[in-house]
Amino acid sequence: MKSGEPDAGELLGASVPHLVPERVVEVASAQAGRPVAGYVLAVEGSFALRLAGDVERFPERIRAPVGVGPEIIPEALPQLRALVIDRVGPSTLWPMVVRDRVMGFLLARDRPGVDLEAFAGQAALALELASGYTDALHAVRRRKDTQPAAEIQQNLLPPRLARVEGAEVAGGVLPGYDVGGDFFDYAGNADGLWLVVADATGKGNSAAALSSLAIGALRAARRAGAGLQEAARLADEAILTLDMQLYLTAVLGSWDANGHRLRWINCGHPTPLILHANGRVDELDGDRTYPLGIRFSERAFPVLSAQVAPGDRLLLYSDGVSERRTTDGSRIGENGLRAILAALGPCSAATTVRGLQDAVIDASPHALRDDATMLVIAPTTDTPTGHAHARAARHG
Amino acid sequence: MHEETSETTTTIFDDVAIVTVSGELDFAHCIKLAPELNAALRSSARAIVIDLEAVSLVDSSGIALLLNAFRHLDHTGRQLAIACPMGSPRRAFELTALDRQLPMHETRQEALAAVGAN
Repeated sequence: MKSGEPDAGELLGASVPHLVPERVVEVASAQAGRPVAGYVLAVEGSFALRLAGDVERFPERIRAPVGVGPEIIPEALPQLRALVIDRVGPSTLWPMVVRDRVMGFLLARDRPGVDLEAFAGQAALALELASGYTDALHAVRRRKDTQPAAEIQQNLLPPRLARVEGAEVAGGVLPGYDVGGDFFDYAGNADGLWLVVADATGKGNSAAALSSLAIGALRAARRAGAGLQEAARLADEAILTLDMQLYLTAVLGSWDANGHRLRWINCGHPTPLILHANGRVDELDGDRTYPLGIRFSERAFPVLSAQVAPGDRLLLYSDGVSERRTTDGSRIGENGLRAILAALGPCSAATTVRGLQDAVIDASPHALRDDATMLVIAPTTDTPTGHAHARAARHG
Repeated sequence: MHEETSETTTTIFDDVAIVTVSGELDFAHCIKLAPELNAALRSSARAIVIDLEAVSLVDSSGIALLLNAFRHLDHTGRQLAIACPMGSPRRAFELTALDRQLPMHETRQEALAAVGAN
C-alpha cells in the first residue's frame, strides 16, 4: 500500500461506524481520481448491491450469482467482472478481501491509473469491523424483508467460506429471508475441524428458538473441551428442558487434518455423502440414533468413522435439499442429489455449494418451502500457512 | 404446480380409530391432518391405527406429528400402530432412526392385528 492511503484503523477511527462505507468510497475516489463505488453481496449470494457511491453513475443492484451467502466465491471473480462490465460498461473491480473472504468490491469506471487492491483489503477490514456496530452493511445485504427466524439464522452462521488446517470449508443456507430452523457450524481448532449440520422440526419462530439453543449448547460443549458424544448429550438435554415437543436432527463430526479421519454421530439426519476424486459418490451410512430432544429410554450416541482425504469432498445436507419439489411435482430425492453432484464434476468446496444451491433454486420456479442447507469439506494437499495471500492478510 | 392431492379420513372399527392418510405427508398436509388426528386422540377409542399405505412421502413435519401422537397415547396408556410400507414412505422413519422406536408395520392388516382389531 502506498503511503498516504489510510489503513483499516484510520478508516474506522476517522468516522462513526455507519459512515465508514461513505468514507471508504471517498478515499478510494480521491486515490483513483474518479468516482468509485462500494458493493456487497445480498445474503443469498445472487446480487451485488451498492453500499456507497454515486447513485447516478453506479446501479443499485447488479445480478451476480457468484456468492455463497454474502461472500463472493474467489474463483467466480472473472464471472463477476464479466457481469459487472456487461451491466455498467468498461470498468475496473477490486475485490475487498478479509483473509479468504471476498466480502464485496470497489468499482470504478474505465481503467484508472492506480491500483486500489491494497486499499480494498484495508477497506474490507474496516467495513467488517464497523458492521459490528451498525446496521449499515446488514441492511444493504437484505434485498427483501427478513423474517425474525431467518434473521436469527443469519446471525448464527459462521463465515460461509473458509480455509482451515488441511481443508476448504463452504456452507450455505437457502432461502435466507424466511423459513429458518436449519443451521450449519464449524470451527477449525487445534484438535481438528468441528462440524455440524442440523434441522429443527417445524419452521419459523419455534424452530429458530430450538436451533439457537442447540447451537449454543454445541458451541459451549466444544469450547469446554467436550468430545462428540458429550456435546450431543448436552445438546439433547438442553432441548429436552424446553419441553416444546420439538426435536433437532443433526450430524456432528470432527475431522482430523493429519490422519484425514472423520468421526461423526448421526442423530436422525440425512446420511452424509462423500464425493471421491473419480466421481463416485458414497453414502456415509452406519449406526444412527434418533434426533436430539427426544427421550425413549437411556440413549447412546454411536460414533462412526471414515477417511476423507485430499481429492474427496464431504457433503452434509438437510432434507430441504433432497425434498425440494421439482417442476413436475416430484422431489429432487437422494438419487437426484447424486445426479446433481455427478454433473458438477470436480470443483472447490465453494463451487460445490453454489452449484447445489443453483440446482435447488432451479428445480422449480416456486419459492423454497423449507430450508436447504449444505456444508462441504474439501481436504487439500497444501498446508494453510503455504498460501501467500493468507500471509499477506496476517501481516497486512 | 402439479401436486398429489392429500387426504385424511377417520373410521372406527372394533373400538379402534383408523386414520387413513394419502398423498404426501408434508408440512402443508400436517396442518390439515393435525385436527383430525387430535380428534382421534381425544376420542374414547382404545387404540389408534395410522394407515400410511397410500402415502408417497413423509417429511420431517410428518414425523414430528406422528411422534407427538405416539407420546400422547403412551402417556394415556393406549396403543398406536402405524402401517407404513417399505420404500419411499418408510424412508423418513429410517433416516430419523425412529423406525426402531415407533410401532411400525408393513400393512394395514398387520397394524390392525397388532392392536387386536380383527
